[in-house]
Amino acid sequence: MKKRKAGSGAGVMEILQIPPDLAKKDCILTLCGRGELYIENYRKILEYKEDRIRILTRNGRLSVEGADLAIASYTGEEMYVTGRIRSLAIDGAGREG
Amino acid sequence: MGGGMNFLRGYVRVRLQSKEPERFLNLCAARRICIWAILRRENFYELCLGARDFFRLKEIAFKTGSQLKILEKRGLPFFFQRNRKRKAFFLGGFLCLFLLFLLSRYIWNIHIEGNYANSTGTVLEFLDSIGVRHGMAASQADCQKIAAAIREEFSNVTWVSARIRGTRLLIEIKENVDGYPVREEEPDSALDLRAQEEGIVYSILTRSGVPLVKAGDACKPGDILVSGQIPIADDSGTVLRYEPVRADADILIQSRLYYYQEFSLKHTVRRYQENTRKAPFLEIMGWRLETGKTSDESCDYLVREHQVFLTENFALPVRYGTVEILPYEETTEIYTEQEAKALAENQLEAYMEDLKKSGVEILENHVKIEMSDTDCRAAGFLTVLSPSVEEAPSEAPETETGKEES
Repeated sequence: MKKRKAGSGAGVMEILQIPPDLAKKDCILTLCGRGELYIENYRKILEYKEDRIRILTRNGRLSVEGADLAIASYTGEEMYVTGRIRSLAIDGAGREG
Repeated sequence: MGGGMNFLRGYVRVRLQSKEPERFLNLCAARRICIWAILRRENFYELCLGARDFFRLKEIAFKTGSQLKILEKRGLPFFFQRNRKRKAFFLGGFLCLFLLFLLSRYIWNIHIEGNYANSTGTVLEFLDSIGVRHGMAASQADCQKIAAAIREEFSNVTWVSARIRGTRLLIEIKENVDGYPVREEEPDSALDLRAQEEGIVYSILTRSGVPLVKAGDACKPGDILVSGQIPIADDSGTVLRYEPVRADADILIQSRLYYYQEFSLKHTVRRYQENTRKAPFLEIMGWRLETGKTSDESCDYLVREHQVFLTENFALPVRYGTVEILPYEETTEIYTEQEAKALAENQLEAYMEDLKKSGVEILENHVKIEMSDTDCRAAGFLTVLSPSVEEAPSEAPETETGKEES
């Protein structure tokens, strides 16, 4: 029953052509080169170290690894990370797109 | 929030020491406290936030067991607080704003565009004569009156727009680009064509009026060549009346132009010396400050002068530049025969060139150059073809019928 409900909701969103980041609060990542990362629709900061920043999103835990990482600015919805980014990974406890 | 707004509202850079820094940041985000420039040091964080938001951190700091220390206060409110005892500084600031406000109420730049036939200087001079000048109060400038005055003064101006933008008076002009001013003709006025010089009529082509001469006839100054009175006769040939017209014809008159030019063989030659020097000067409201211009020897002065402009056309009474002093020696020399003849020929050539430019055709040259011991003389005449005619008011002769009536 629950499944059917979710499926029908997604169908409505598709018909209305509402983008997934608005409809389902999906996380948007914008990587500029290896030095800048914009994260939109995040939920909270899990860990903040110079070599690793972990952030919880609705799609899972986002792990940014690198060196000299810093949160240049952030608000409730978006975050701007700078530094030398080596890897990005999302592990799976969150909701699948 | 932009950097400019942060500066205006004031912000602080704080040091955060916390057991749960991530929770602290998350709570800030949840309470919509804007934080930026977060740097992680060895065992603490440095971050920036708005001065007002700092007081909202108390609860979060308590919850997360964090310690906050203000490292730096930045922005305008803190600047004013720090400098609150410097009264002269603030007075200067207010004075500056007041002057800015005061000066913004005057016209400091008059910009004229679209003018080709009437130079900017001419238009500015006219505007000055009607009281529109640089430095006048903007409230006194009536754009409609200015535009109307320009249209009235300059006949070839077909459209004018005047408007004030800030401290600028912008005047746009459109001119009649056809070039020929409209001649106001009086339809009933009769005009004759009269000769201006004595000579022989070389050719005549009449477009309107009655020609009184033909090619080969002699004429004197004032003779009517084409009459502006066309006789209207009846069947018997009796002139009933004269129809007045504006006489129009292409007439070439062959005449003699006498030429005489004499100059002395002895003449003075200036030889400029190499020891030229420059002296800078500054002139303010007619008072000139200069260095080292005075010189006892004979010399020419070559002045390079620049005027200081505050805006595009707003000239200040300040000039600067240099005076170049060119000393010379004068010696008396005598032209050789060849030099004198060449000079006389050059003078005659220049005279003939001027004649050609004014529409005169030269047929024959009877000028002879003669030399004496002391002088060189060029004398003779030129046979020329010129349209030497002028328009003159025409008077209708009395008709035979008129005589009979009287």
